[in-house]
Amino acid sequence: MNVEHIWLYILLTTLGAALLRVGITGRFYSVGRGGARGLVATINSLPVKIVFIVLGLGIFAWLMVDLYYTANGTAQTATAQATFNIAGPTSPNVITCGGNVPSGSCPNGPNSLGQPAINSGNPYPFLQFGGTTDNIGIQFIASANQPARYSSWVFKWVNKISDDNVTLTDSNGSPTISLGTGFDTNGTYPSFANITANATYDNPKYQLTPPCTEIKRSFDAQTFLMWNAGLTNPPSIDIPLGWLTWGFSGDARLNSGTWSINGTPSKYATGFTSSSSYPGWTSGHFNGTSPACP
Amino acid sequence: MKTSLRRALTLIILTVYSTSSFGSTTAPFALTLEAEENPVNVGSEVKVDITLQNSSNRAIHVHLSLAEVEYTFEVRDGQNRIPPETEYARKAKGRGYFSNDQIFYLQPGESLPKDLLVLTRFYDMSRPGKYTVQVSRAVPKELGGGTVKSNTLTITVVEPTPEPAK
Repeated sequence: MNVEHIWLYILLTTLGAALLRVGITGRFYSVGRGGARGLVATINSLPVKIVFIVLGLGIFAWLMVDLYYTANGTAQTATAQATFNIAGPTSPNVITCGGNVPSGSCPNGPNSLGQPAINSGNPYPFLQFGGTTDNIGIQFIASANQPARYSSWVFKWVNKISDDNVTLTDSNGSPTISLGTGFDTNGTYPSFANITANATYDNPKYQLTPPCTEIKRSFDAQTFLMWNAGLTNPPSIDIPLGWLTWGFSGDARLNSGTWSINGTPSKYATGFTSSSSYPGWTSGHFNGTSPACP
Repeated sequence: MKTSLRRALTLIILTVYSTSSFGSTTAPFALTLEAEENPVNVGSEVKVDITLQNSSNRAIHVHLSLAEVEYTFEVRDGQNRIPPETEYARKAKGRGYFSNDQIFYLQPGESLPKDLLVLTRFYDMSRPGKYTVQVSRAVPKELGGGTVKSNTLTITVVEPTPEPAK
């Protein structure tokens, strides 16, 4: 029922009721001259036909008006869901490796990750997962059977940080601070901006600044492989192909003015899970200025 | 005859060898600066893209990380003054940073993916006018040391054009 057209319904109802009365009783009016004379002799008389024609038209108009305006969304909202099969890539896979892999291959085999290390920096060194050409932290190498019809397809990479905590120690204490969780970004999408190659790397780093004397970092991430058909008009959207998880932890300690790794650092990477689930997040892991020592 | 030929060949080989090594004055890479949008409306972010290209004749390793720490950048307004720093920039001074970090093995002529630098995170560029920006990057010692500068880019910040009355 559309309340905006209630006047139309009242008019049609009143007219219909009056004509129905005439059709049933056979009288146009009940008093005065000719008031007692019936006009309807049989069911097929003209007044009865008029009544049913008018009533039919009224009901039809009512239905049309109601359906037309309601279906145009003035009174209702609707939710629709559609699944499109664009015949994207099949058999996606990502292998990970690290260490001495400067040329985009995995000479030491999959899962041969790099090592957390202390690397030089300006003006302060870094606690870093890999970070040098002979010690790449983690390399991702993607593969898939590509559909023939998309010649401009690209891969993209999205990092979701599930956990990134640093424990900063100086003479004032040892607080543990989260560097943020969620979408990993330097300020743009995707996480590794403008990188569309089938292989990419990551070597997360944290600068070792005074007056800290010890900095521990524990980092866990989920990396999604995305695919884009490369269409421009309209532009195609990124499609998830799957994900894997990886992480590392390390402890840097300052001794006699020199930073070094304390204890045994850890690292891991799981196998690739093929999935069409989109990465979702409600917060960001914004790379940038690190928290001050306590 | 044989001696002349041998000398000529030696000369050719020496010439090829000398051109295939880094010269002492040749930078191993070149920097190109482009504005993502120009002119820019007052109040909008001023973004520039930095492209690093291997301009040498051999493959080099280059890191791609946070542009704000990999590059030194200088912004000047129309009066050649440095615009006021933002609170973010003031707080970042003397502090360390964390980021992801990628290492690329660039063949001669190849470029890094464009690196985004948001200038308005560091400088108050809210006054309409022309601003110039130039970035530079230190050359690692193993590539000869020194600094490489980009082109100087002029960005115009303008008052937004009012929408025509309906």
